[in-house]
Amino acid sequence: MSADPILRVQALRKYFPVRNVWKRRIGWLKALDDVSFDVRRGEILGIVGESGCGKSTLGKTLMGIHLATSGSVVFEGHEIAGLTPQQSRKHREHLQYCYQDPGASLDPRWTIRGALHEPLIVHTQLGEAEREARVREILAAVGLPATHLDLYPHEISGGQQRRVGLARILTLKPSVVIFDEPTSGLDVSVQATILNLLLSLRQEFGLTYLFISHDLAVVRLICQRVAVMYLGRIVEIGETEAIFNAPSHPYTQSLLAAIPRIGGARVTDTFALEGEPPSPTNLPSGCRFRTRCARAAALCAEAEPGLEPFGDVRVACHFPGVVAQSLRA
Amino acid sequence: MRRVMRKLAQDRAAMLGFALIVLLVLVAILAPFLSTHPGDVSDFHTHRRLTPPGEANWLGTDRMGADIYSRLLFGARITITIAVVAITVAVLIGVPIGLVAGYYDGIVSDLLMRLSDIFLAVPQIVLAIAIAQTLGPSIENVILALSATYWPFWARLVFAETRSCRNEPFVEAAIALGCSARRVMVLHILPNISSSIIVRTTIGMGGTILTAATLGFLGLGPPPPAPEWGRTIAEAREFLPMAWWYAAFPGLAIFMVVMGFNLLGDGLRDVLDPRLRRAHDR
Amino acid sequence: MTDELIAVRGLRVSFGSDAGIARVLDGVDLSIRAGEIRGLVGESGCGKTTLARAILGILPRGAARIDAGTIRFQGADLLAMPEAQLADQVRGRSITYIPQDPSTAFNPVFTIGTQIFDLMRFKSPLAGERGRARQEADRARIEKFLRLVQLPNPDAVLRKYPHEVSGGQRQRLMIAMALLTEPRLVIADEPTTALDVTVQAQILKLLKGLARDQGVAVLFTTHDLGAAYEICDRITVMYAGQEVEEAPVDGFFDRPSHPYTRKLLDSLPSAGTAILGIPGEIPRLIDPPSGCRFHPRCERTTEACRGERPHAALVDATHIVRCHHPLHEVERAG
Repeated sequence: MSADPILRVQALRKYFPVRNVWKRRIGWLKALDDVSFDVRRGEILGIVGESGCGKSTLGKTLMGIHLATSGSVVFEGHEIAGLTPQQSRKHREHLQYCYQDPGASLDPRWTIRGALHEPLIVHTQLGEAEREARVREILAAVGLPATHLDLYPHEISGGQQRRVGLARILTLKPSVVIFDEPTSGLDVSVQATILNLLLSLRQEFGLTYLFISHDLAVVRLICQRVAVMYLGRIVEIGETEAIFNAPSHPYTQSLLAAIPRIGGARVTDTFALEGEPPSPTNLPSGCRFRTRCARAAALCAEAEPGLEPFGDVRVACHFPGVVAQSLRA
Repeated sequence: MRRVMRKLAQDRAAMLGFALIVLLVLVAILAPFLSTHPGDVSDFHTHRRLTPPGEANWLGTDRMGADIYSRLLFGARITITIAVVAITVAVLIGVPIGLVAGYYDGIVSDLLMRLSDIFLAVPQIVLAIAIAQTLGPSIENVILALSATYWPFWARLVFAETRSCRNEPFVEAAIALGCSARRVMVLHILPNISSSIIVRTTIGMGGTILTAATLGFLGLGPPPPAPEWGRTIAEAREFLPMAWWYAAFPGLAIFMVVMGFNLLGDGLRDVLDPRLRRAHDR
Repeated sequence: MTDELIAVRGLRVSFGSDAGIARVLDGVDLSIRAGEIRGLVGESGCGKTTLARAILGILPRGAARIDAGTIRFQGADLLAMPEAQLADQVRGRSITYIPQDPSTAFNPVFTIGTQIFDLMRFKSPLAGERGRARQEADRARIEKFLRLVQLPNPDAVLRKYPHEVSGGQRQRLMIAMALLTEPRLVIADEPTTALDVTVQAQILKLLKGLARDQGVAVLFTTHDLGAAYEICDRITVMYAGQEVEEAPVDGFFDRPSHPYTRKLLDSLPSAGTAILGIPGEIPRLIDPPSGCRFHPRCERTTEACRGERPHAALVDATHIVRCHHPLHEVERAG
């Protein structure tokens, strides 16, 4: 792995205007609020968090589906924040995005062949024959027969649609793929198949993954590093095992404590986190987790903690590491 | 596609409509061969004026003695021309405007929709009269009046469909891929909303023909001796109720044609809208 | 089996579709004791939601058909009961329902209070009485339950519209509404699937506590084995319309007897082990595999498995499995 990060995000912000009936802006929904992290070449970085934390917005903003309000995103040495996908097309060729259901990204009126050729038509100057060759190569890599090329999406199964969606992304031989909830809603046995496919594709094509998911068990299994998000910020980031074994941020601790552990003590007996996250349009002053934090002190209301190194990880907390009551070994 | 055709074939009403339309087209094309007095489009025979339907003139004669049956057949050509051209122009204007307005947000979209609102507010007849007064009554001016006032229907339909289609995952995926706006609109959104356009167009044909006949009735269509159906009915007014055949048969012709398009349009809508959506559902 | 609250026997349900008849439930047996929290676990297409709906009698009328079987509840067969009686006495009263997606369960144009009071008008435990006393008693009961589900400000919540409260709060409301009418059985259909994991932990804790306190039985369907582990006393696992194993929760996870259960547990992600799936795909129910429907994907398959669906056998006094070649020794049972 080279030392230079393949993707560097700094102070990324994405605010959505909140309007009243008269279309006047009355506030901001701070979906992403000063997010910074690096993605190293070849790694799988997990982004976890619950609904409203901004992880989906992060993926879409990196891709340019949403335009960043401010901040910098440097991909393979080029600045791409603030550019639409069409403007930055040249730079983004190697950065691809995979939906939760990749099959849904297929136009129902296009054949599989058309869907797989399209990325190459948009991004490259390859001729018809060369495109066809590459399409067949990728189709084989995801384990589908070439006969599928003439079919329409509704003529193949959901699982196969998923593979086609993946193949579509891979036709451009990207270097980084952003996955948005790739295993959400899948049966456990199917999930395993998809994960194995993702791992083998990464191996075969030398890919780097940004793995956005709310499923912590899956993230623990395949991500080397993980970033935990809460209300638009990263609150903890580091090596997966370090974080799962000894989480330092109170939110991470609650999050991990909420996962049922088959064979162990029951979460329902010990879980302590109360309430729900505050509205992202009306964030508390200082640390945004303080309204639900058992350790909140005066300092927490005054100053928002930055992401600071703490042991092996980086944490955004004024009192990181103190073991909370609800933590189980 | 084939499945759609098969389902449509099972709908008897739609097939009846289809038959009526085919009949119209055939009649228009084969008018010279099917008519008994092809010359009567311009000739007149005053000694035979206003004779009731009989051996020589199957549907009777008009005030100039011309054979109504033959004039009806040639009138079909005028009807088809006006309907097809007017709708084509309206679609060619309305669909792109709707696409662009639906795809983009902001001032472009607002302006285009307000423009269509303005045109929608103009009553067709009034505009047609204005055009006819300024430019003279003719087939071209009828087409002009019709398309100018009809295009907003397609613009609004396409606008609404584009707006909802825009949020579909595959459109977002195409944008994320880096497809240009034009590519997304034309190659992705348009095919997926085409079924609504087809249905609306078919049903719209019926309305167009009716309006064209109305304009003809008011004297704004092609001038005499053109055998336009609406004009024929207008001519018949002073001779009713004695020469009933004079107005009845053109009226019946208009009725059948409009009915045909409406039936086919309904059938298409039943077949295209729910079925296709179900095919996409998982 | 004498304190069975509800007993489903030999239930067969089929759905008609353009492509053919799907045999969604293939002779399912299930019984739940009073006060028991039963988990019904399985992957997509296993029939757990259909079973839940069949008990409530809310299967889609045109498409679904009950081919065989009985559902005995409090001495009567629900499948033979006239609809009017079912709607008035059973549904929403002795058997209540918590749906999977709380956001579509409420009518968006009425306030929450209106909808809950509406429920009480017909299904209140005090249905016999009328007038002010009844209204006040109902209101007090509603407020009590809203507090029990930890909704802090009952008055304020009742005045809100469904879109003004969060998903977690809506699910709490559903739980309150399910308990308001003093049911004997609550059917919770994937109640935490759509929720975040921390909210899920809160809701599971709540549901478990309330079920115990109120002494109601719960049928908890889910595809999430972790959630089932958390609150169930007993778990039944289904595959493609057939129930294959049933055991107390600890026995279920410690000593699974059916090959499918074993594979299912093995495919749960756990650190340090290879990611295991189950080869093959869940079968289509229009032309399902014969006999034991898992046989095409099982390495222990023999002719017997293709020929006939296995009968229930006991692994021990409380652990039942339906397999010709279970992973543990069994005694034959009826």
